[in-house]
Amino acid sequence: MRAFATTALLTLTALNSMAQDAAPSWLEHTLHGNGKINTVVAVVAIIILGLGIWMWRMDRRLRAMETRQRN
Amino acid sequence: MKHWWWKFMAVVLLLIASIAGLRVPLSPALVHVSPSRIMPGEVMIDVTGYNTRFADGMRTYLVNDNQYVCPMRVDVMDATHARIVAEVPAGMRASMTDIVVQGMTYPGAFFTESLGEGIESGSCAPTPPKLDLTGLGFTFPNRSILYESIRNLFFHVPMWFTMIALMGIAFWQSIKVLGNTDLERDRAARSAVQVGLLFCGLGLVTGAVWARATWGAFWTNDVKLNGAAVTALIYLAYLVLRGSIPDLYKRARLAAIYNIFAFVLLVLFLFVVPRLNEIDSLHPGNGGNSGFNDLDLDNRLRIVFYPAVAGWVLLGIWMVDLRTRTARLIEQMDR
Amino acid sequence: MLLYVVSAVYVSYLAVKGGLGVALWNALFWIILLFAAFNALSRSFQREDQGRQLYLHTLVHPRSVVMARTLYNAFTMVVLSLLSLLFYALFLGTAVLEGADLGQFLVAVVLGAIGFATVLTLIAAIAARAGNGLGLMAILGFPLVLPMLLAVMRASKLSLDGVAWSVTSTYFGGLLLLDVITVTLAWLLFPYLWRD
Repeated sequence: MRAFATTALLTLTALNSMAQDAAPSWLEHTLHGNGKINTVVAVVAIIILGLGIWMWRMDRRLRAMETRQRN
Repeated sequence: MKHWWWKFMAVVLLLIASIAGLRVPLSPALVHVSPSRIMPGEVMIDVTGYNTRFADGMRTYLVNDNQYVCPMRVDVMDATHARIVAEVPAGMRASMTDIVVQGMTYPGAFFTESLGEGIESGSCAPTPPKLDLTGLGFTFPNRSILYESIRNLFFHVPMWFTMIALMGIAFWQSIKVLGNTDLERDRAARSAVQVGLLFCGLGLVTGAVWARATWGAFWTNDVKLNGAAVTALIYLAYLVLRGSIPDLYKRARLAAIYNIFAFVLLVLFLFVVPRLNEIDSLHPGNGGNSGFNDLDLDNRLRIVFYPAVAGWVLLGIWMVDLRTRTARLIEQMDR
Repeated sequence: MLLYVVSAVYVSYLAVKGGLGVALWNALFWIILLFAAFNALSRSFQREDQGRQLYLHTLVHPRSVVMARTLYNAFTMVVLSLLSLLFYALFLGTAVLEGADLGQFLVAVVLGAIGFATVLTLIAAIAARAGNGLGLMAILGFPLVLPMLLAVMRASKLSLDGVAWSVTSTYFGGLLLLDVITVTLAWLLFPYLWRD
């Protein structure tokens, strides 16, 4: 857990320095094209992905309980 | 029915907010004008609109410091493209000239050469120039730079509202823990923090994507962003603290104390410190930026925004509920 | 403790060599002070073993203990920060201070030192009770002093630029409010920390 916290801290710092770097042009294109609708698509996709990962971890937790109950 | 009505509400609200948030069209606006520089003489201007309905005989003019230049000819290619030919006189007063098409203004469209004492104003401009929204139905405001990404208001911003709501729940449960070291409350507090951190992460990542598209950088040194980073660190530290204490009751008590302390300082930081630093935030409502309140025709956004926030908060509470119940079962099995 | 500050200042003097801008001068000073605070205050509850704690418990109310600790730590931090300011000015030059309102800067330093002390006292107590030393304290304390650090750095930067009192007084008011709230929270929460 502590390693995780340290990693998060470092990542945040890294993000900070990354802000100055230029993004690849394909990304620029995707995010800005067509009235920036793809930005919305990306945001919605990230949220669904996040919720999906949460569901998956929940599923694993329940599965572990089921196997333990069986034994 | 008694127990799940709010879960039902969560789904319905999210459904409404997501469909409306993605489907409602933006108001028409001008998105591109070329060239960006005009000189005296005949000028050909290409105008691109978004969601517009350009038509023959539409009213078009250039504005320079309240003086108007009327076009000689307007060729409409299709609903979103038009070519305007105008005779630009010498001696305009301001260095920036706006263009107005069908009541839609593109401010600062042209750098203007050969300035002077002013020109003879054309008579084609209506007073006051007004955007005609009739027959369009319900639309969202179309702001330059944001354009379609204004819809992220219904997806990115509720993440933060949900996070704060869940951390508030954790705070409340922690206060209750202090009284009698109730392990059930402790579980609820921990679950709320864990789900809250998920929403914090989602808020950070979606915010980074949106920031890249509007401000040109994934991360800016902004009061709100610092607040988000500090929140993430505080609650990660909370989980680290929990992990380092083996005794259940001691863990519950120490975690509760830290949580109460941290939440109060966090609220102060998020809502008081930004008031101190009047400048340097790109977010609306801070510094020199226009707030949510004076966003043009903001009520159209609010109608969708509030259900979205309510839906996400309810979904977050539901997730905390699930998390608490599984944690309880696991602990019962361990015993 | 003073030795730590002096060596930190000396290291930064060696590392910097030559002049520093106002912003950097200010930032470096606060970073040194931040780490000094962590080092000094992490010991405040560490040295007490179980027996001594029990003994204290029978003698006085826990609230008196935490108030005494906070006062002592605040005093230590104020002295430490003023001394380190002195050394800092000696080694890294006072060129920055020429355009500054020294009174305002001292107020900022004192308020910042008190703020660090109040926040970190309770954190040190929690870390000590968790039976984990400096590492846990850094993890728990850093995000909580960060807001205070940002505010105080800004306030001291403004006072170094020599702005009017009316500008910085909002910051000082905010910091004072933060200190008062922190002490109140420590006073409210500490008895629960001691209960076994």
